[in-house]
Amino acid sequence: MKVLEISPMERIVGHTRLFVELDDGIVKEARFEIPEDARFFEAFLVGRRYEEVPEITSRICGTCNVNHRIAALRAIEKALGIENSRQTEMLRELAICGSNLQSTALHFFFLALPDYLGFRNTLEMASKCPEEIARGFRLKSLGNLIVEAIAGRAIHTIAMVVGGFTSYPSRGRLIGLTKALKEAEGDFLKALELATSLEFPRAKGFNQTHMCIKGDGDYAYNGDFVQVSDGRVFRSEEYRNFLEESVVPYASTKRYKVGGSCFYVGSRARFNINGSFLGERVKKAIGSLNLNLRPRLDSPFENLLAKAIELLHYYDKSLSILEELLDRRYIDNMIITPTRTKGEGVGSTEATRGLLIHEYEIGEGGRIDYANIITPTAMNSGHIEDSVKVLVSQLSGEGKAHEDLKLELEKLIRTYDPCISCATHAIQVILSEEGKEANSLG
Amino acid sequence: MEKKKIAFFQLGDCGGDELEFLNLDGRALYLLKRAKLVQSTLLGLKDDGPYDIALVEGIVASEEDLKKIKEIRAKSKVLVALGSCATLGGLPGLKRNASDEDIRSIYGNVRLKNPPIDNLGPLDLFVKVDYYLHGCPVDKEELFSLLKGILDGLEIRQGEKRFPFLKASQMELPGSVISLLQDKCILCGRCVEICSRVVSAIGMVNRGFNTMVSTPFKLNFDESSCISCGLCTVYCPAAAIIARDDSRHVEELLKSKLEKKGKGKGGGRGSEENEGKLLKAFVEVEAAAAIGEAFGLDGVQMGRLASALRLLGFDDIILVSWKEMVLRHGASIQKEGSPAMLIPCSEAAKKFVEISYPELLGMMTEVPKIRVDDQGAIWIAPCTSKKLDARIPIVTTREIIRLIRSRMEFKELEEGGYKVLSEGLGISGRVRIVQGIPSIREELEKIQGGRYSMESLALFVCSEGCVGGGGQPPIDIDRLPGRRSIASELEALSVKAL
Repeated sequence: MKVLEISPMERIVGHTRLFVELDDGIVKEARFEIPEDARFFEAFLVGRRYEEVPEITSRICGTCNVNHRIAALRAIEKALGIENSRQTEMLRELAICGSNLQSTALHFFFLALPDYLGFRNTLEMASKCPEEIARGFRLKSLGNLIVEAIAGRAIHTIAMVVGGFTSYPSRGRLIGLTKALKEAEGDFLKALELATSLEFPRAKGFNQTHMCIKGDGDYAYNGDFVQVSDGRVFRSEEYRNFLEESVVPYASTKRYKVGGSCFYVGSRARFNINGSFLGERVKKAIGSLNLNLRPRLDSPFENLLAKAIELLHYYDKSLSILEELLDRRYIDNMIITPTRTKGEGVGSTEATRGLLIHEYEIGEGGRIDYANIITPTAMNSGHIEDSVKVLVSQLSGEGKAHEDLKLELEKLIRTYDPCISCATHAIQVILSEEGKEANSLG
Repeated sequence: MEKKKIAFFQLGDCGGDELEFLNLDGRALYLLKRAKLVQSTLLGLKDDGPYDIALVEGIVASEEDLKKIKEIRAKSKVLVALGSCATLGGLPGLKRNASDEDIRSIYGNVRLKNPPIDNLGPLDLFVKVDYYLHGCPVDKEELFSLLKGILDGLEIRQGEKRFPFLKASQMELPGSVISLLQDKCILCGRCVEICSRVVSAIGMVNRGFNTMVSTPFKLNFDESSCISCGLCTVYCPAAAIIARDDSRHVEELLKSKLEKKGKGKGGGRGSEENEGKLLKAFVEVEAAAAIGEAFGLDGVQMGRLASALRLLGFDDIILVSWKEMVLRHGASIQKEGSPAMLIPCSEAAKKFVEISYPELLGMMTEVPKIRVDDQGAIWIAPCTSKKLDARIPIVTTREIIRLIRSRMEFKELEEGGYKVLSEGLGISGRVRIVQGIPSIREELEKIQGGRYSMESLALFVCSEGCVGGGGQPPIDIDRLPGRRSIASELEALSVKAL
């Protein structure tokens, strides 16, 4: 019997480890373990006023703080019956584009790319391929520039509050953003070109159940409907009826299934389900680069490709939102106050890493009675284990050495861009059986 | 010259502070050219140390974190607490308030994989931190100037405008009883005002943004003219200037008693040994007088206080009048026809005379000793200066109120019995009490000027007497007479018993 253990995983956000048990080339067990501390966000949100919730939940994660904030805002606004203006929605979408742009650039250039260019770490790559690292920095700071303009600052934003914005970017700033985006067009195209030139490991038979927010004629990031790759659609309020929760003794996150199968959320899911809604500019760029893109990306490794396409999408989407904003008469100082102080709401949005769901019950005096947060990495961890099993059984069949195998597995997990800070906040605990304390393995 | 080794570590938090480093973009690359980044899980770098500069974000929340931070400290020359979680506890620090019940109500009947430790919090609860960079997330400009400053070989000191952070060791003005935490100070000036009526040991120094409260030349409080009267600690609204808290000694004492008791039940010999040893709590009348008001009760509350102390684990509760003890101490030394003497109320009065009127030292007697041979005793005083020379734990009124409040519902206690300290002689009429530093100065200057009085003087440093001492809870000046009358009632009780 062989045991493969990768600990700690490097070049992902947070700490985790992978544990694989092999018996004669057959995977007996694959465990994606999350040993981080319990973070208790859902516990200490209870009893706080709803205005504080976005401030607190954005601290769940430094990389996707904007997404957590917007998911919380959407949930609270639904609970309190607030209908936002079109302008607020547009500005938020722009903030999401900026945030996802910096997060995707971080993952693509700094965390994932070294694997495919043959480097052990990012610094090694920085000394050999300064161009790519510089491009990564440029795209990342472009994303930050957008978030700073819309929401006040890059990490743990300020301006987005329940019912609107506390401050608005000036017209001049919006024009500046448009200019900066247009100047960076070459970088986006180069990134896509680079992604298509990469060689991905050939492996087949991965779990093909995907899930993302349903696009209504657009490549959606915010929405109230969730679509599964088999065509089923459900309202995000009903997530409890669709997502089956299960508990594993070795990880501090719960596992989620839909229709009995683990599923994938993230860039590839969005591309596979909503790909036909990508903007004209993106389609044209894909066309002009003469890419032989299949309409479905089947292998987790191709997530990188989907990310490169999404980079271009963020460019395209930000530009069209900016155009529309500059065309409209710009209204500021409009924050909608809620008409009621009690209610329940679910907010769903797409982070770079995939679907993110926040749920709150607001009770007496606008205080939170119940909070539940389901993060993409929590949803993905079952799928990660599935993929590990597939990859290991194929590679060990080819007679790969132990070390190579480890390398490939690390590569695989990194393509998911797991965010452990996020995942562990969610359900940190191991449920016991009917009052009996379950043993925590470690 | 070899490049300095930089290491990033993340304990429990969002990971945003290391991202801020990457958000420096070109300047991050500049720093990485000048130094060697050896450890960063985010960028796939791993190194077992030692490190020149370790930047740690997040709080210490579990045993694993604790092990890790101690290891990091041991291996690093400079340890930087990065961001509000690491410097102050931040949002994850809210876990500290979660009781087992809270957790159960949210997560059900569960067992946590990596349970939080009781006293989780910022790094400096566990290890020495060299630099603090506050902010959620940390300000990247500050991060840049700190790293660049260290790489340039600058020793960064407090007060330099370019570097708005402080070095940890300079953030505290230490002393064996009184200490001042600069990072909590709001510069309201109350301590300076109250001290100007006593010994003017502290004042405002520097100007503009660099203004701070300090002793002259940032002397240690023990070396300055501070007499540890503790009045500044009563009036500080931010708990920046504080007196040494001895309540943990009390807790240790009670714990050791409990442990012995537990052992005693099991084996025969131990119990015999410990049965004879009683834990005693001596309570000064002025301290007892301030207890009731802290729990919203009027009048003499000595009975309830006795039950509270008994509940805490003390066997004997003894009411004492320090004033009587001082006067009697004077009287016992003074024989018929002997010259006049100065009797200090405490180490505070002694230090005052030593510093301000050294030529009168010959007249001064020793400070009355707290005559308790028994190690199993505490002394509850309205006074902080007694802590200067203590053989048993000296607990101030404020500390005992805090202890009681955390353990029980004072209002619901029954009245309990207590003893009074009965020893010594009657009071000599020839000892006169002088109260407050201004009056003491006046009297001592008279003596210096040759106008000897034939009577001995008992020097009590606090202007309002022990009732308004440095260990008492703050009180409105109009309510002080109320407290004083309770104290004299109690005093009458203790004297009558003699």
